[in-house]
Amino acid sequence: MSDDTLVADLLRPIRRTTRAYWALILGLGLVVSVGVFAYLLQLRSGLQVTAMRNQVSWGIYIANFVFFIGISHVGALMSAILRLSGAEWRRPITRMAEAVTVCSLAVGAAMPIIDLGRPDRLLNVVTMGRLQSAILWDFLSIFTYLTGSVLFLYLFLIPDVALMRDRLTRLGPWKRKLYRVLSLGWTGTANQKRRLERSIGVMTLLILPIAISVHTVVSWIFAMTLRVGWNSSIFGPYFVAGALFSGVATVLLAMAVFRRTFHLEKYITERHFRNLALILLVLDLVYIYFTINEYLVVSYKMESSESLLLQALYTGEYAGMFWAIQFFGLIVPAVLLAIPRTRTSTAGIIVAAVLINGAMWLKRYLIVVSSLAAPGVPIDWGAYFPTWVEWSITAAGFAGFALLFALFAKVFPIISIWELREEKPEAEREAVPSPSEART
Amino acid sequence: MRPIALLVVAAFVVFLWMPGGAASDGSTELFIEVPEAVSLGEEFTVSAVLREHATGLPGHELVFTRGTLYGSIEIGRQITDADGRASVEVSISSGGRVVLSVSFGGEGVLRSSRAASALAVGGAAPPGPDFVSILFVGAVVAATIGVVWACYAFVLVQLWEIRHEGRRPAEGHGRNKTDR
Repeated sequence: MSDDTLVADLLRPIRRTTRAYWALILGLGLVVSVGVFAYLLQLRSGLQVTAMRNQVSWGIYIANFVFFIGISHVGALMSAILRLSGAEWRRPITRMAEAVTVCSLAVGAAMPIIDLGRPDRLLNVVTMGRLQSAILWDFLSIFTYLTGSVLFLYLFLIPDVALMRDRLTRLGPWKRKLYRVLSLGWTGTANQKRRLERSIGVMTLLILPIAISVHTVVSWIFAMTLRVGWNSSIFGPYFVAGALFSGVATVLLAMAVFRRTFHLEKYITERHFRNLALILLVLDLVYIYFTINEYLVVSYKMESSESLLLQALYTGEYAGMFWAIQFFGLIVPAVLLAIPRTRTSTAGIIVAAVLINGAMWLKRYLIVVSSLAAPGVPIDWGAYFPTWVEWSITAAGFAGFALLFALFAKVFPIISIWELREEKPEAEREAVPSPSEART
Repeated sequence: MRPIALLVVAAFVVFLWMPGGAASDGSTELFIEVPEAVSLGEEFTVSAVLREHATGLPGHELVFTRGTLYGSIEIGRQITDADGRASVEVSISSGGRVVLSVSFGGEGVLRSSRAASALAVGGAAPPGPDFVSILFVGAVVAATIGVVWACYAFVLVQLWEIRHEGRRPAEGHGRNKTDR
């Protein structure tokens, strides 16, 4: 495949916009609009329009927060780990993973602000935050991670943006200006390359501990309390494993969607699906191990307050959801990913990824709601089922994530062109004229 | 007839004077004793006396509870002593007005009874276990986040230099010359 074909293929989605793309943007925009309307209603009327009350004071918003922050880990961890381990096959998929990180972080970080009811009170975390509070740790770590993830994504974009600045001269003026500003005058000099490599090296090493610490801190907003179901010492690694698990599943879904819609079959091959499916299988087994450890230990001790919650999870009100998560979210995907026939089929992998993401969202909902509904004092169980306002805002969150991703893919190449070029044999690269030479 | 009438009246008077004679209705009384005010976290004694017509009732279980925003929480159970008295040690870690109650559930012919009293809980919270200084924690957090942001600053300086390099007059470098 020639260099020009590669560039043409990967820039095609930016050059051309199909009707289906606009229809998708319109549909996602509509869902987001309904969510914005619901949020405005919540702002005007207060949190009484939600189902959250004194006892179950966190609900679907916090479940969304944990879910989106969770999938945001994949970009940093997958990209950094595969880079550090020198896995060459990673090149076509790391940009997607990094974009998943930034888009999901943006949506995830908005959820606690929505949950606050009064967004102006976010300032209180800064002005009156206490160092002993896990909420303040959360705020600091998420803000740091969001900044780092944007930088991480941007560093890898610079050479591609410069390429677009030079190649896509027929685009609208705002896009050309955007590329000119973001390319930072990149011409690929030895000095620029050296500085970019140095920056990438620093961020690759830095983003790993930041990503792990962020989800550990997210788990601590639960685990630092004595509440039943949350009072666990393995919540940190349990949450990090769950985050990677759902994150890799999300990247697989994104790969499948972009491969089909942007016709990227030449670049995102069956091999990428198979390799990621194997990683997903390992993460599934790790998550099963953590789940057994978490519930077996507590069930064996059967401390009186924990027994109430465990009964509700095993045989009571939450049993349907609890067992559905274990069976459809962990066991069925593990079987699908373990059997060679389904593991090597894209359809089998996609089914597993969809099941995993659905189950992981339910798992976060169950962690938040069931523990709060369990009575800590001699009173009845709390009741919670999200209202239409909460469902609308949740749907808007998912649509917003997809919308951000779709817009990103329209403005920037979803596969890193310069990294893919580097993968090619040196001799082949030398034979291809540079973009500026090709124009003249 | 007169001596007989006198005997009847005397017997009635004696009957009324007989110990426990009026207790046949089984009604009990509970009295709770709590301090008027305590400090946050201070341990104090709540006592209660179970009586039946001024006589202490020994060997009966009393249940002590405290009121909360969500309802009552049991704070202890004790069997009454020979004087009908039982007591529990309590400490309260939330400030304000707290209602403490004691109840007797009834037993045999004895009827249930209940008593309550409020006390003010105030003052500063007792110091928690001081195993890690908050200043130390603050310093560690600030140093960790500081290192991360210093690395970000380093990357931003590199980007600034890249931009600076890009603005220089072309020194034999065409645009995208190396983008092969």
